[in-house]
Amino acid sequence: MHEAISARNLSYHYEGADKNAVDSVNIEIARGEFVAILGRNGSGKSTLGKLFNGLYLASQGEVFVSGTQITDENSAYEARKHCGMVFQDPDNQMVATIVEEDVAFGCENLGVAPDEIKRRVQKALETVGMSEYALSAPHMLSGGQKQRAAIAGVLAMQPDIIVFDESTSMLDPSGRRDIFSLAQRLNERGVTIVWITHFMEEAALCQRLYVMDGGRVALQGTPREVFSDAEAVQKLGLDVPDMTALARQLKQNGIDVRSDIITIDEMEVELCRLA
Amino acid sequence: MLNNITLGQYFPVDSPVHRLDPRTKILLTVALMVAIFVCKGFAGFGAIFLFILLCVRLAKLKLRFVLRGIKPIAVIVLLTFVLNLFLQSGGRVLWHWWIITITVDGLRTAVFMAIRLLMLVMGTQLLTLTTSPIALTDGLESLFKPLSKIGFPAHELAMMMSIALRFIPTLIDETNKITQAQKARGADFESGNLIRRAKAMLPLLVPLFVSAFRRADELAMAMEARCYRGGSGRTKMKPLKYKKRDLCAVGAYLAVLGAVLVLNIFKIGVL
Amino acid sequence: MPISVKDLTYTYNPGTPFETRALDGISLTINDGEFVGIIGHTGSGKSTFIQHLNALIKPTSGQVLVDGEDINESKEKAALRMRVGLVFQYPEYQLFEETVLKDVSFGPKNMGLSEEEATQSAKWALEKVGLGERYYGRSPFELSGGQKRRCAVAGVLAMHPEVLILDEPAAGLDPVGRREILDIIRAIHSEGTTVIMVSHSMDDVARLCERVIVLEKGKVALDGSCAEVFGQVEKLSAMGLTLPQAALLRDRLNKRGFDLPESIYTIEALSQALTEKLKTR
Repeated sequence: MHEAISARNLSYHYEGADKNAVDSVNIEIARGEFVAILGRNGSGKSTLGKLFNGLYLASQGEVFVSGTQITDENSAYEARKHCGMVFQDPDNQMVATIVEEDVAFGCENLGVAPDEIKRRVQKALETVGMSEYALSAPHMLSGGQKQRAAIAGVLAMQPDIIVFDESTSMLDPSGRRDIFSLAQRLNERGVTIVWITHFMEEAALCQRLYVMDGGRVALQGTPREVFSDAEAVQKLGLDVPDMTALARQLKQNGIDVRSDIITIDEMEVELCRLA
Repeated sequence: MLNNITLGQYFPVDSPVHRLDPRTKILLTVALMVAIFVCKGFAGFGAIFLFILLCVRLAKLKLRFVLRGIKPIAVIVLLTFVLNLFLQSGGRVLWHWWIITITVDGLRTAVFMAIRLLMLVMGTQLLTLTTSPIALTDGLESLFKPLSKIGFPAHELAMMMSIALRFIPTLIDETNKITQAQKARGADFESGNLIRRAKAMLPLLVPLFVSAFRRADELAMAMEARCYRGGSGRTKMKPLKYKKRDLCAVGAYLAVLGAVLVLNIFKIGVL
Repeated sequence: MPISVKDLTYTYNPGTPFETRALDGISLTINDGEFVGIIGHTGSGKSTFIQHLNALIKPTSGQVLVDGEDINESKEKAALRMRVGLVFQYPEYQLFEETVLKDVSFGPKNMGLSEEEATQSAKWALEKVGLGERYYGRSPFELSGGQKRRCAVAGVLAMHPEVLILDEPAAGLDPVGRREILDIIRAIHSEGTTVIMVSHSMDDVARLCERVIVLEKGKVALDGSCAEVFGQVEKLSAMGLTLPQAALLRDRLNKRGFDLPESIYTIEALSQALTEKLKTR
């Protein structure tokens, strides 16, 4: 069984840029994983995501998606069938004037039979909880609802992997929570999730994370491993979870708390143990 | 704020006319125009008008919706009427003053031409009131598909049309936001002469264009990510299919056309 | 220049089936030098509310008094509007000029300042947001996301507003961009400008603001100091608003008998209090 995504020495160079946007990156993502790619703007994280979907073709190195190596437009097309993508701006990824039609768009492109499309669209809308909006116009929906519709459009294509490219950064907190927990549910059903973000709160909830900086992988590991080195994370222009920061301050004040705390639940338990 | 915006004048109810295949409706609208032009007399118009009335009734529309379409071209109708009234001669003179003469033939032609125009408008109104813009696009795409063999971009045009429809509300919304933002910076869109006002639009138009291009760029990428490769090899969730009711509609139309032709041939009610 | 709002009500699409009451009888006063955070759900009326404060929207009923004068009755509406600077959400979408300097001068020029005065104002504002001389001649469209945002904020600052209103100033920025813009806002406030900030981020509000106004369904649900408002855990949760992490933990610990002061809502204060608590054991 091959990995969901594997990149070896992967580089990408924008025309006219003076350095690589993605620079000799090695990444292995197993099937069924929920992996975050964290980094500040311009760290190369979005470019990396587009390399997974064949929207960009590698300048150097190799990238395999569901066993297919992406080398040209044709292999990119194959890869896209397995690897869907949800983008940042919810408005700019809906093509049709009716939600249902938009969800069908990908299937129509794949040449799926009409009855099968109907079945998939209905199921995808159910999965994301948007069935009652099937006939709505996109501009009547909230940002979070639009993102859910976009996810349904990807789901209808039945991909093994979904890359979320900062899909929550334009949403309000409730929309953000909504979309993240939807991704978690999809992951439970076996979809591999690549979650590109600059929110450490979200990255902290993923199984594993890669921190990008200047096109390279600067840090990697479980959230606990990565965030326990708060200084390294902050140096890369990112935040650490509030609870990690609190643990650090308490430690500096001479309180003997665990330094690998990332969630509020863990902190509560730890403090109760100390008290 | 813009939630209640309706594009075009589609009147969304469920009716036998709404449910007709858009291709049938487009073709019948064209055919109806032919019938209107072929028709030579008032009796024929009567038959056509009855047909339109029947459609309006079946479509659960009110006649005034259909008549509303006349407003924008009222001037043209009036002009046609007046020109024909004064320029046509022949027959008994009804009224004469200075160089103006109104004859029976003139009056008859004028009324005839005006009715012809009104009928044409009502026919097209019927189409746009009962067919959503997106269904129209689908219908046109399907009708023009045979032409794609000789290089006519049927699918591409339909796609552009549908994307335009999708983004019009978004861009209207954006226009409002940018207008407010520039007003907050003291921009004045209302006063001054034409040139000044045109210049004052720049702070609105530049950001709007920049944003439209950004959106286009992102949308293209999102479409590609969903395996879009143009029209070939695509299927449709709801492919257009002619049904029995389309046959009925064509039958009804043929009956009207037949009536018009019969009336023409036997010169019943013909000028 | 205090701003008072009296019984402010605003209805969208009145008399149609789409009629919605966005604001419902809001009365409050914002005094000179305050730093006010406005929080609430999407659709709670926050954005509609702040657009009233500089007369971009006319109230359905009620008054907006700027410096005691009804802004909608005033003959000097344009001048009053410029004394209350409003930075919209994603303000970078309003950039339009060829160069950064020209774009920032747009506001001052509209105020009727001479070319030279406007440029002076623009330079001053650009310095405030940390865009130095080398950015003057650049196209605003070539800047990075965070720089664009700062440039747009400078565009409003250049009009020297006495009250600065910002709608989600940090939305969509990465942590560095976020910190930069919030630091700028903090600095502007410390120089005496009244600041009103609409935000979804409780943590940002907790870090910066002195007073918090919570809007719900077009009404003022809570209004008070940060300590007062973030102490109302039950009420905030009932509205579905998330608390700042520190306030949330403080509340949970108190339920387990920690007995920490209700006024704690920042990580710094919490670590202080916890240190004292745990050390005395």
